[in-house]
Amino acid sequence: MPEGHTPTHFHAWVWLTWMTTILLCVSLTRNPLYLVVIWLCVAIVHAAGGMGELAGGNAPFPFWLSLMVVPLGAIFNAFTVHMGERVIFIFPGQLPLLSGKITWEAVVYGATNGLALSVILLAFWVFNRNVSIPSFLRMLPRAFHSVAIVGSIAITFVPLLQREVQQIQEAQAIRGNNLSGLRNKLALLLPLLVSSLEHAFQLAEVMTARGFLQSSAASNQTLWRGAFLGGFGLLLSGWLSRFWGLPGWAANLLFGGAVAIFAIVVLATTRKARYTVYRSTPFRLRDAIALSGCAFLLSFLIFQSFILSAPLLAYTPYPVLKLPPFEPWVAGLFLGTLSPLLVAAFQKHDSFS
Amino acid sequence: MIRFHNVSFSYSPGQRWVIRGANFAIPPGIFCLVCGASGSGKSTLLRLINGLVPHFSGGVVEGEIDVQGVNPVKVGPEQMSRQVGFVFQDPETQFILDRVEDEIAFNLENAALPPPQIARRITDTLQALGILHLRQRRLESLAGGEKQKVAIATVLSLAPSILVLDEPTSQLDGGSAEEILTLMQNLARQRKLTIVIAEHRLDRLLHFTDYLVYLPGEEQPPLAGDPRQVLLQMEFAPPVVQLGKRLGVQPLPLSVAEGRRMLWNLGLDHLTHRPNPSQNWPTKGEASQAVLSLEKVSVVFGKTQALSNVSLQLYASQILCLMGSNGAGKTTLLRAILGLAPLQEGRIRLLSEDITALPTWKRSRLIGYLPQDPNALLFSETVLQELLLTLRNHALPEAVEKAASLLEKLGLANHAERYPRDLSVGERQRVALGAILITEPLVLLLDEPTRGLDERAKSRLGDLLRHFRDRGMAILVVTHDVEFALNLADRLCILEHGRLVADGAPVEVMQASKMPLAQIQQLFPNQGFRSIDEVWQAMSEALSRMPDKSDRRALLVCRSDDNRPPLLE
Repeated sequence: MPEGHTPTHFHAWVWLTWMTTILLCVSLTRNPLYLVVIWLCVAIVHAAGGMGELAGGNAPFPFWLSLMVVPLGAIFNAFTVHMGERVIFIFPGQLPLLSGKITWEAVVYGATNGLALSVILLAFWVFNRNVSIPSFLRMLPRAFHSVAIVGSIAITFVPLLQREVQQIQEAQAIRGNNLSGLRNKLALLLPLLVSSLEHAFQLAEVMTARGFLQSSAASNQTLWRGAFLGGFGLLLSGWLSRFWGLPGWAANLLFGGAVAIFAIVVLATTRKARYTVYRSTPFRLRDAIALSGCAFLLSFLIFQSFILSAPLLAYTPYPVLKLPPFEPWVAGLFLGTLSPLLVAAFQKHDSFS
Repeated sequence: MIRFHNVSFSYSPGQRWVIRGANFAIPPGIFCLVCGASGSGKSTLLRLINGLVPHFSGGVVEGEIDVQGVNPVKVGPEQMSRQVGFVFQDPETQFILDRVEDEIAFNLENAALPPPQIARRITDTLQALGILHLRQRRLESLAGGEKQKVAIATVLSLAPSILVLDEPTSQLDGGSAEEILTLMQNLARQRKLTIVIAEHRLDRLLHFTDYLVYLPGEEQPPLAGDPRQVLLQMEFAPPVVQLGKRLGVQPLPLSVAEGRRMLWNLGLDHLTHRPNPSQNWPTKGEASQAVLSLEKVSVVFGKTQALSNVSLQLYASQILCLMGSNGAGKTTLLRAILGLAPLQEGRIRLLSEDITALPTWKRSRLIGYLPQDPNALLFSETVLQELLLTLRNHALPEAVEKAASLLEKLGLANHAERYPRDLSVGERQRVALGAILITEPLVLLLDEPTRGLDERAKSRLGDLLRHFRDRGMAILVVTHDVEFALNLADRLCILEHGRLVADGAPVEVMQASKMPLAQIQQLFPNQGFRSIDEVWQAMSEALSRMPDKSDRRALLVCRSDDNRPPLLE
C-alpha cells in the first residue's frame, strides 16, 4: 500500500465535514464554557495526530498563538467597546474610540472572541496537517478546477514565505541587525515583498512552461464568465430590490434566476473541463462512521439554530456580566467532533484484539 | 530540429540586443550545450525555444525561429509545452505538490490523460531516470540530485521531443552532476530526445556535447556548431581544452581521455613536476595562533546528525577550502560558526575567546559570511548604502571614504549609486562581499561562491580572496568546484556524513579522496600540478634541459598522429 494511504487515515471528506462542523459551532456560540469544550476537542484531535494523509500529521501547533490571541482580543474589545455595567476604570480624555469606560463585560466578550479565533486557527491547522493538496483538489467540482489549483498554489506559498522570512532574518543578523526594535523589524518587509514577488513570478513561469490549463484556455471562457457576471447582477438586483420597495416575490424571482444561472454555468463548465483524476482515495466504512459523527452534530446545530431558532448556545456578557449557562448534554454533543479519533481508536483496539 | 534564422531579441524597443543575429540549427536527438558569460543571453535563448520569451517577459523579436516546424513566438509557451519540456535552475521553485508521484501526476492530469496511462507514464519516466524507488517519497526529504531528477521527470512525463535545462548542475556536487548528465546523454540516444543545456561549468559538460552554441555577449552573434571548432574561438575553456589550444593540437581534446591521448601522442604523458609545498600551511608550533577554532562541534536536526565531533582551526592569511558531497554538512558547518545552527555539543572560539553563546548579529562583526545566494544580503537602495548599512547595524561610524575605498578594491566604484539588484550576478556577489567586509572581519566564510559565476567572474573572485588573504584574513570557502578549489586553496578539508575525513595540502587531499579530481590532476596523476600555467612551465623547463633541439622536436612529435610543425618553436 502506498505511503500516505494507510488504514488509519481518513478520507478528505471526513476532514472537510469535521472542519465545517467546528466552524459552525464556533460561529453559533459565544458561550466561553462551550468554546473551551470545543477547543479541548480540537486540541485532542490535534494531539492524537497521524489520522490524515500527511506524514507530518502530528506537527505541533504553535499554542503560544492561542495564548496571545485571547488577551489581545480582550484588550482590543475593552478599549474599543465601552458598553457594560461593571466598570473597571474610566479611560480619560476625549480620544476617539479609546476614551470612555472600560468594563468587565467588554473584556470577557473580547476574550471569548479571541478564544473562538483560537479554535478556528487550531482547527485549520489540524485540517491542513491531515488533508493533502491533491485530495483537496479532487474534492472540488471540476468547474472550479482552475480556481482550486490557483488556491492550492497560494497555500503552498505559505511555507515558502515562512522559509523566506527566516532567510531574511538570518541575512539581517549576518549584516549585524539584531532585529530588536520595531524599526529594525520593518527592515524585513521590503526584502520579503521583493523575494515573494520573485517567487510568484518564477512559479507563474513554471506553470506556463508546463502548459497549465492549456485545454481550458481553448474552451469558451468568455461566454461563461459573462453568464457568471449576469448571475451576480441578478443577485445584486434581488438584494437591492428590498430597498426599492419591490414585492418579495420579485426579489425571490431574481434570486432564483441567479441560482439557476450559477447552476447552469457550473454544470456546463464541469462538462467542458478537461482533466483527469489519477488516484482517487476510496471512501470506506470507517470514513462513513467518522463522517456521520460530525454530520449528526452539524445537522443538529443547523436544525436547532436555523429551523427552530432556539437559543440553546446563545450567551452574551452584556449588559451585565453573569455566569454563562452550561448544559452537560449540550457540551456532550460537541464530543461528536472527536468521531475521527474514536473510530481510529476503536479500529486500532479491534485490530489488536 | 531547432532553427534560428537571423534572430535578434531585446527586452525593450530601443534597448541593447540581448541576442543578435543568431543563425544556427540544432539537429534532432543530440546533446547541445549553450554557454557564455553571465548576462550573455543564455537563459533568454533557452526561453525563446519554448516561447516564454517574449510571451512571458515581453520584448522585441526579429527573425524566424522554427522548433519542430512551429514558431514558438507565434504559438506561445502553452502550446510549445507539448514539444518542449523546460527544467528551471532551482528545482525547489518548480514543485507544486508534496510527493514525487503526485507532482508528476499533476502534469498528466492537467493534460487529461486517462489514469491507467498516467500510471504507466509515471513508471516509465521514473524507470528511465533510475528513480523508481523515489515514487512515494516526499519532495522535502530528497537530496539535491534527487530533486533535480524529479524536476526532469515532471517534464519528461509529458513526452516532449526537446528537453531544455537551465543550469541543471549548478547546485550539485561533481558525482551527482555527472550522473544527471550521463542520464541526459542516454535519453538523447535512446529516446531521440534533443537536449539543450545552458551551463557555466564546461569541464563537466563538454565531453557529453555534440553541438555547442557560444554566446559572446556584447551584441556579438552567437557561434554554433561542432564543439571543437567553436572552442577555438572562445576565450575561456576547461583546462584540457586550454592545454590542447596552447599545444596547437587539432582536433581539440574535449575530455580527459582525449587529453591523455593527446599527451601520449606528443610524448608528454610522463611530464614530471615537483610542487612547492603550500606556504600557508601552519606548523604544529603555530597551532595556538588559530583565529577560529571549532572544538568537537556536533549539530543535530531532528533525527539527523548533521555534524559529528568536528574539530577545525582556521589560521590568519590562509584560504581553507571545504569540500564534500551534497548533504555532507558543509553549509551547516558555516551556519554553526555563525550561530545560525544550534550546537548539540562543542565550543567555538574566536582568538581564544569562547563565542559559542554569542548571538549571530554580534559574531558577524568579526566573522563575515557570504551565503549561497548573495541576493539575500541586499537590502539597500544603492551599492554605497549597502556598505554603510552594515556599519550602522554595528553602531560603527559611517565612514563613506572607507566604503568608497572598499568599492574600489571590489571593482564597484562606478556602481556606487546603482540599485544593487540591477547588477550582474558577479557584481551582486561583490556588493554582498563588500557589505560584510566593511567591518574588517578576521574571518571570512563563503558558501558556494562560484555558483552561477562565469569564468571571468570566478577568476576575479579568486584574485579578491587572495588579496584579502594576503592582508591577514582567515578564509573558509565551501565549494563543489574542484578546479576553483585547486587553484585557490592553501589547505583543503573534506567533510563526509558530518565528519571531517581529510585535512591537508590541496593536491594530496584531493588525490587521496574519492571525489572527482580536477582535470589537471586527471591528466597528470600524482604530479601535483594545480594550473595550466604550472604544466606549461614544467614543459618549457623539460624542453630547455634537452641539449639538442632535434631531440626535443623528436620527443614532441615522435608519437603524434599528424604531421604538424614542431611545438615551442
